[in-house]
Amino acid sequence: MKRIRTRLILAFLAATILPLVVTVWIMTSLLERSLGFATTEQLDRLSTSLQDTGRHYYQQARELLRKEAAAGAIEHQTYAFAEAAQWPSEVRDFLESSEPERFAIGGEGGSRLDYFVRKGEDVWVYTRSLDGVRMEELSGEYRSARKLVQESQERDLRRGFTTTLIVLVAAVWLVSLVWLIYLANRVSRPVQQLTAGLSELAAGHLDTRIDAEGADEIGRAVAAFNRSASELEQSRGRLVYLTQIASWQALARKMAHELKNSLTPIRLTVEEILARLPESERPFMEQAARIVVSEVESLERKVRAFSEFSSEPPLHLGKIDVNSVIEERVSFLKPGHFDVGYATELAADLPAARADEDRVKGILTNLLENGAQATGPGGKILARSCVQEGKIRVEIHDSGPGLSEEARRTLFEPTITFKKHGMGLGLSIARKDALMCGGDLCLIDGVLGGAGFQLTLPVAGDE
Amino acid sequence: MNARIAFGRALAMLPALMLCAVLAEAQSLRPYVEGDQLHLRSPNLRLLSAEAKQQLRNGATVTYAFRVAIMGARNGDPRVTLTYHCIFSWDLWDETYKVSRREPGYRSASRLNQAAAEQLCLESLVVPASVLPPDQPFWITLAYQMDNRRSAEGSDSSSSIPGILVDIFSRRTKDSVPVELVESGPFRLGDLRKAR
Repeated sequence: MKRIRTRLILAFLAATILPLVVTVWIMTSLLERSLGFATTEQLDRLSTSLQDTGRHYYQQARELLRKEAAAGAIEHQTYAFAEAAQWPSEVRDFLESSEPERFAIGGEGGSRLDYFVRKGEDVWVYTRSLDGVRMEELSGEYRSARKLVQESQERDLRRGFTTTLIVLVAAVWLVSLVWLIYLANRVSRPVQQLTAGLSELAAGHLDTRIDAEGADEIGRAVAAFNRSASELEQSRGRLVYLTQIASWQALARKMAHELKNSLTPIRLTVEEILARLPESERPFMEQAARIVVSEVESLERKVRAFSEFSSEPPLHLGKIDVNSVIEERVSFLKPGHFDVGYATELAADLPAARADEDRVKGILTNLLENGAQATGPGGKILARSCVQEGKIRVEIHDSGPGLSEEARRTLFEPTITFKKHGMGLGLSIARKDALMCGGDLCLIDGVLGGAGFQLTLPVAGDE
Repeated sequence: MNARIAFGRALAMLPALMLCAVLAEAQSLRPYVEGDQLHLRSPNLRLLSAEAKQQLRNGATVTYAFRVAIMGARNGDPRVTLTYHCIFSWDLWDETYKVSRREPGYRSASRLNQAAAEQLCLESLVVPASVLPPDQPFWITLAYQMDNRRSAEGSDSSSSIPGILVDIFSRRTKDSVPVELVESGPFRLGDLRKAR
């Protein structure tokens, strides 16, 4: 069975590897092409050029401001030393330095150039606009561009993207493979169980069952297997029972024949002896003859019972209304057991059964009689009917003492009696009749505290 | 004959020996005491490497980590170890350096040329005179290294798995930043005070 799993995995490998390789090839080609567009060399050159231009512009602005200041062409702001405590920090910083002059970028975004000059102890500050050029913002832009360039130089993006692509594709593929192995196991396991179950069944182990999983085709196949195995097991049980019964019947027939052959001459001989005796000896002999005849009659009854057991009248299968038969049997037997309480729970719309009505009556009579005798005065008997799993089920429960474990085991075997009267063949005949009708009779847990029997019959039309 | 060969060899090695001596002098530390603190100075020591200067010209800041160790003997166990960090930056338009010391107290100076920035950084590495042996010789070891770690602000923050993987696989293997070492001595605290 591992071959199914292996085939599935090989099919997955064959179906995925080639498309995967083609996909990776296409993607890496596209990646190569896209990376060719995204070059940072231009950014490198552009940022360097930007810095040179900015620096040049700044130097020019400085020179211009210095010349304008020297020529007195622009106004200046004087910071008197006496008020040094109130000076802005950049002016104080310049004062504390040893520099003779200083240029500093100020204003919003660095759009202004300040020129600090010492005049004795005072500081003069000349200011000039940079004509909208924001030097600090320019610095920020340059810094960002250089950072990108540096990062790009520190990396091999082509290798990074390609390796990442291959790793991710391989990871996805491996996850899919693991998932497929799991699925293959999951799919092949029930098939494997089914095959093993069939092998067990073929070997005669009819009690083999498989745990059913899911409602898919495999699940339904497993359920069908379990159902078939169960029916096979039941059929074999019935067949074995019928075979046993047939053996017992043959034995009973032979025994009855032999006994009958001997009993008739015995009875005739005793009656002849009694007729020929003188009157003086008659009282004693009459008494002895009555005993012998009584025993012979008893033996004859048993012979008749054996004969009935061994007889196999023809089966007349037909549609029968089981509920009516139950009610009719209860009504028939109730007068004979007026001190027993009878109850019925009959299913409405119970379909007709296909069985021999006389035999069903015989079975129900036997069960109801047995129940009445077991439960005794004041006892209860319940008769129920229903449909389960496409079969008609009739249950007879009594409130008697129930059955021992030993009795449960040998209940349907002939010649076992638990009553004062009878031969103990009733239940054997009842089960045999039920089986002959295509049903069965079995012992179930009683709901009234005593014994419970279930008669199963096929629904009419359910051949 | 042998003596002439030996003399010739010695003569040939003389320039190399002189170069070594000059380099050693250039790398030597010249400590001085000011108040209760020992300051370091090394006029010919060039802290900023070519890589550091390139980063500075790209507008980034560069941090140098310093470890000053005082030892009783050359290559001995350090008696005192002090750690400092200096941050260098470069003014793109003025083309001057700015240097600041992070700890123990923040100090900063700007509009400096490279040599001035480096010396200012070195001079800001101070050792309290109280930790020095008053009448015993000692050696000073200065170890420094450019801190190559990027600031969190500048680092990539790819949150997706593909982004993280691209980040990992695209990295080029970089040589580790070397630790430069300068060792000088022996010094005596008394001599340094007198030299002052």
